[in-house]
Amino acid sequence: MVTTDEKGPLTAKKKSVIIRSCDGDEFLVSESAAVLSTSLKKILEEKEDRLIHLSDIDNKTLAMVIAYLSTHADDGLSDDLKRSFDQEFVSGKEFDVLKYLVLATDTLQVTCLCYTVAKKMADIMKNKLVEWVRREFDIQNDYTPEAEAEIRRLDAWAWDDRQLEDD
Amino acid sequence: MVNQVWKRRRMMVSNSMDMDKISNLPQPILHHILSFLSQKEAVQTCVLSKSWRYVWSARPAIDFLEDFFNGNTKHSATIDAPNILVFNYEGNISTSICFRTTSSKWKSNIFLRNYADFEYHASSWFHKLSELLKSLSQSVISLKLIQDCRIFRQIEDPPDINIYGGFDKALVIEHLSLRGHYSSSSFKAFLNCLFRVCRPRNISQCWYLDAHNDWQRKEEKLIEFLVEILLIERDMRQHFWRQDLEEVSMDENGHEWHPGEGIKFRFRLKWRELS
Repeated sequence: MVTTDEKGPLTAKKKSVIIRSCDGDEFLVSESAAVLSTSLKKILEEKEDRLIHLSDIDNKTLAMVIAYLSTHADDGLSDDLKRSFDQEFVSGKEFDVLKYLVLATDTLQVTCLCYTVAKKMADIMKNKLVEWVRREFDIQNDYTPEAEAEIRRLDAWAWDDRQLEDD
Repeated sequence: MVNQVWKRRRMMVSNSMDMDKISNLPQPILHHILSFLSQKEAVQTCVLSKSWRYVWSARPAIDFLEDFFNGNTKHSATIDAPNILVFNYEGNISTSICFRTTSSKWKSNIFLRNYADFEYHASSWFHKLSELLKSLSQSVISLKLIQDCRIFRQIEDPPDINIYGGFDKALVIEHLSLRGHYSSSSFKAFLNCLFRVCRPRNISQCWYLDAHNDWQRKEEKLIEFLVEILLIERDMRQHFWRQDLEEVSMDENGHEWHPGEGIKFRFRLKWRELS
């Protein structure tokens, strides 16, 4: 597990930003980490505001995003370490957690994390039968059996030679 | 007050989202997620429910499977894909592709297989590979090759360098995965030809496709060949590309850098800036 290298108390040189979640909690983030988010970067460029209020990201999600940003802003870490941090970051997380993460990264425009999380969500769906996906994500099938059969017939090639597990 | 309104709105959003864990995500995010699935799997989502009927159709990914075009005499394709993220290509490079996009960050995964008659058509194969790579040169390219190269010999040292794109025009690609039958000399000859066309930043063995059992034993050799060619041999005359190669390093058992694909080793190559 990668930990960020704390370089003692923040000096005046190292600028930081306060980010407030929709739950009202505040997080202190170094500016170098914050600007990895394109949205935050824009806000910081437009006004010298050191307090940014994010009205649609909750504590838990924001804390995760900030941990990610701080790790990636750490110049002392190699690209390989960052990559393995990314893998560990999404592994074992529930789909709901990933969903809020992907929404947050979309809002904050953190392209790399958005990519990693979306890929992880796709990995969860990969090699699964339609019935599994419906059950797992509580999707209500509002097709009539006839309508569904008709659609399957239209794109029959997509259901050819399948050997998927319904686990 | 403002906060209360926000919280209420948020609760409504999360409540409606809890009814269904995925459908209410914004469309662009769903498209992004589906871009990591194969075309087949993406299309299958159309029967999940009515709201999923056409979601897949806007995913920013294209699977170009040449088999689909079998029997079609037209051997060129123009692909207009302004927002593409992923382009997957599988086939025998008999179709020439013209790619148009405004996307700045996209990936191409090219998967090619060559069996018994590789020796026979190798020269045109390298030529077509070069054309394909050039048409995708705006993307981050991963090239996966499964070859039977046991009898492959160096194509006569090169009568017309332009056939292969030339030294100075070799394209730097991100990843090269190899698997197949090689002998020591055929592998050297093959890499020599391949490096005329492209210069990979990473080389590894693709390991995750099932094939005949006896392949595995023979492929143990692949790593030895690579070590020999990339790390030990220093003969400039044999390997013209040596002068462009600044640094080579090797990691073993690097699962963390390419998880899930069971790759056993990776060579990292640093090429001199090609002008």
